[in-house]
Amino acid sequence: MKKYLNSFKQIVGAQNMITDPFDLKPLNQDWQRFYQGKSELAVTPTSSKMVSEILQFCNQNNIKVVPQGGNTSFVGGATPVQDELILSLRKMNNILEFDTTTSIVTAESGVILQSMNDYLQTYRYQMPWDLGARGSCQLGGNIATNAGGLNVVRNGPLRNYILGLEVVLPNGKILDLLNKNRKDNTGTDLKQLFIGSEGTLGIITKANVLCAPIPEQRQVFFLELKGFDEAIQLLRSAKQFEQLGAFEFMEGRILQRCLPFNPQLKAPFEFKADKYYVLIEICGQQIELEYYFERLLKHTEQIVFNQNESELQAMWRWRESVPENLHKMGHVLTYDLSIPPDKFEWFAEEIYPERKGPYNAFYGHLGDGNIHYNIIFESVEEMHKEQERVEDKIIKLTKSLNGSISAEHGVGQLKRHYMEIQKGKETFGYMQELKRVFDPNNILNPEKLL
Amino acid sequence: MKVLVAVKRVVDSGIKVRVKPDGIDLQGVKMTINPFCEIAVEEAVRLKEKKLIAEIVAVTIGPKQGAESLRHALALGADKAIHVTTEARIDQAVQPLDVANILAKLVERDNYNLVLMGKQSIDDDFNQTGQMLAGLLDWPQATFASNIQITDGIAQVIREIDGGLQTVKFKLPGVITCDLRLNQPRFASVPNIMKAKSKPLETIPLDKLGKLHNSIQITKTEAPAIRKGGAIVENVDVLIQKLRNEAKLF
Repeated sequence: MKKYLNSFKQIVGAQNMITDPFDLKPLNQDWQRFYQGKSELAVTPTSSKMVSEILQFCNQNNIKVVPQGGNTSFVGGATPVQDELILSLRKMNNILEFDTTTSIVTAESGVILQSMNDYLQTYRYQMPWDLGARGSCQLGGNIATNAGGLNVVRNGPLRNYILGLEVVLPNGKILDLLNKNRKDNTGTDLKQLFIGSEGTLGIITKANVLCAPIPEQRQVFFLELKGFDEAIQLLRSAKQFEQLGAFEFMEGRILQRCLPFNPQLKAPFEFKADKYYVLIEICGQQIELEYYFERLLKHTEQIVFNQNESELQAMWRWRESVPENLHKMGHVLTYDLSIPPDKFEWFAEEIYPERKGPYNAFYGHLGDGNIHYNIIFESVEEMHKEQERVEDKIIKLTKSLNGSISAEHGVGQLKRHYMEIQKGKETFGYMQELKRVFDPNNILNPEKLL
Repeated sequence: MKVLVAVKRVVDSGIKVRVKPDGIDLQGVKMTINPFCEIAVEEAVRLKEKKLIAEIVAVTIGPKQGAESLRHALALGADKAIHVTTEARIDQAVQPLDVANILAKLVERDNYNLVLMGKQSIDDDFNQTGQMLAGLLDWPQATFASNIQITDGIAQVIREIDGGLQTVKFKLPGVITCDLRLNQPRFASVPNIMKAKSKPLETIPLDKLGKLHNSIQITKTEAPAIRKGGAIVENVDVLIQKLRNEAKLF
C-alpha cells in the first residue's frame, strides 16, 4: 500500500486518510474480535465523486477494497481479510431531504441509523427497520446486508422500503438508481441486486428510503410460559393481532443467567431456567388494552405490561442485552438461522440431546422464524475443538429443514464456505457470474460472501 | 394497621416535554404515577406481604384519568382507592398545603396508622406535602426514606441526607416520604390489573374535603437554555484566556 499513498493523497487529500496503526486497529477488527485484518490504509471519502475516483484507481491497479460502514457485522463482512484498502463511508453522513408528502428520505450511506431516527422524529416518522446496533450501524451497511432486526414482523423486510440507490461500481462508474416512485415496473429492478450484496457488487453511496410513521402508542407485554409449545400457540394468536409490533422469544435458561449482568434493571419476572419468555409489542393508534388482556390470558396468567416509558425500555433492554451478556458468559458460537418457528426447540435438542454438553441456548425473532442459537464455551480451545463437529451438524440440519444458514446477519467471512450447500450449484453459479459482471477484477470485498 | 398512600399523576418522565407559555403542554401527553409515589405504593405492598400492615388505601387528587393511576396502585397490591376529583391542573393548581389539608381530612375520617408518599413529584419538585401533612396532624415524620422497618408500632427509618444516612425512630402514627433507593417497584401484571377493577374505588369531589387556594402563582415556564458545545483548546494560555473572557470565571 505504501507505493500508492501519494496517489491516494491526490484523490482524497491527506485529511481523509488514516495510516496510524493505532487508529487502524478498530477498523481492522470486528466487534466480536473474531477477525483481524492487516490493512495499512483507510480512506474516508466525503462525496460519491471521491468514492468513484478511489474505486477507479483501485480497479486500474488491482487494489482490493473493503467498504466499511459502522463495522457492526456479526460475520466479519466489514473488515479486511488481508491488507485490503478500507473505504469508510463515515464522513458521507448527510441527510439530504425528506419529502413530507411521500415520507421518502434521501440520505448518504454513512448516516448512523439512530441519527436517521433523530432527524425523522421531527416529522413524526421513523426508519422502517430497527436493530440493537442502531447507535453505530450505518444506512449503507444496513442496505448492503438487508438488515433484519426487531421490526420485520411488523413492517416486513428492509427491501420493501428501499425505493432508490446510488451505487458506485468497482470500475468507478456511478450508477444512478435513485428512483423515488413507489411503483415502477420498468423491467429488471437492478437495485435489488445491491441490497444484501454485502459490498461485493458495488458501494452504496445514497439511498431513498420510504419511512414509517411513528406509532402513536406502544405497549409491551412480557409473558412467562411453561413450555415451548405454549410459545408457538401464543405466536399463532399474536399473528392475528393487526397491531402486532414485535414478537421476541427468550429461553429462561438465558434470561436467568443474564440476571447478574443487569443488576439494576427491573426484571419482569424472577427468570427461571425451566421457563420460556416472550416479549410482545403492540403498536398503533388507540390500543385497547382489554382486547389484548382477554386474548393473552388464554395462554397464561403470568403476564406483565408496562405502565410507563421507563418500564417499556426496561423490558426491551432484557431482550436486547442478551447478545452482549452471552459474550460475557464465555466464548460464544452463534448461529443465526431461519427455520420453521415450531422447530426451534426440536432443533436445539437434535444438536445436543437433552440439551447436555456445553451450555447452549436459543432466543430470537420467533415471529419471523429467525433463531439465534448459541453455544458457550469456557475456553477458545474447547470452542474450536467442538466447532467443526457441531457446525457441520447445524448446517446440515438447517438445510434439511429448507432453512437459511443466515437469516439476517449475512454471510461475510463466517459462512462463506457454506454458500454452495445453501444455494445449490446452479444458483450459486449465477451469483458468481453476476459478481464477474460488476467486478471482473474482484477488487470489492474479496473473500466475502461468494 | 391501615396505611394511606398518596399518589400523584404526572407526565411520564420517559417522554420529551413541550413547553408552552402557560406551562408544560399536557395535551395528548402520556401520564403515569409519579416515580416516588410508585415507590411508596411498592413499600406499602411489601409491608403488607410481611404482615406488618393489614390494609392499603391509595388516594389521588385529579381529573377523571387519575383513576388509571389508582388502578395501577391497586394492581400493585393496594386494597382500596380514593379518587378526590377536580378539574384543576394537577401540575399547577393542586399545591402542597391544599393537598396536605385534604389528606389530613381523610386521615381524620379513616384513622390511618401511617401515611406513605413520594418525597416530591417530578412536575413541581416541591418536596413539601409530606412535611406539611405531618405538621397539620401533629404527627412525627421521616422524609427521604431509603429503608423502613416497623416493629410493634415503632417505625425505624433510614433517611438519605446530605451528609450520609440518618436513622430515626418514632411511635406510629406518622408520615414517611419515600426516596429512590427505598425499593424498585414491581411490574403490574395483567391478572392483577383486572382484579383491580373490582376493588373498592371511592370518588369524592374535592370541595367536600377542602379548597384549592392557588396561593403560589406560576409566573413563567421556560425550557432550559440549550447547551452550547465545548471546545478543545490548544494550550493552557488559551484555556485561561477563555475562562477569564468567555466563561467570566475570574
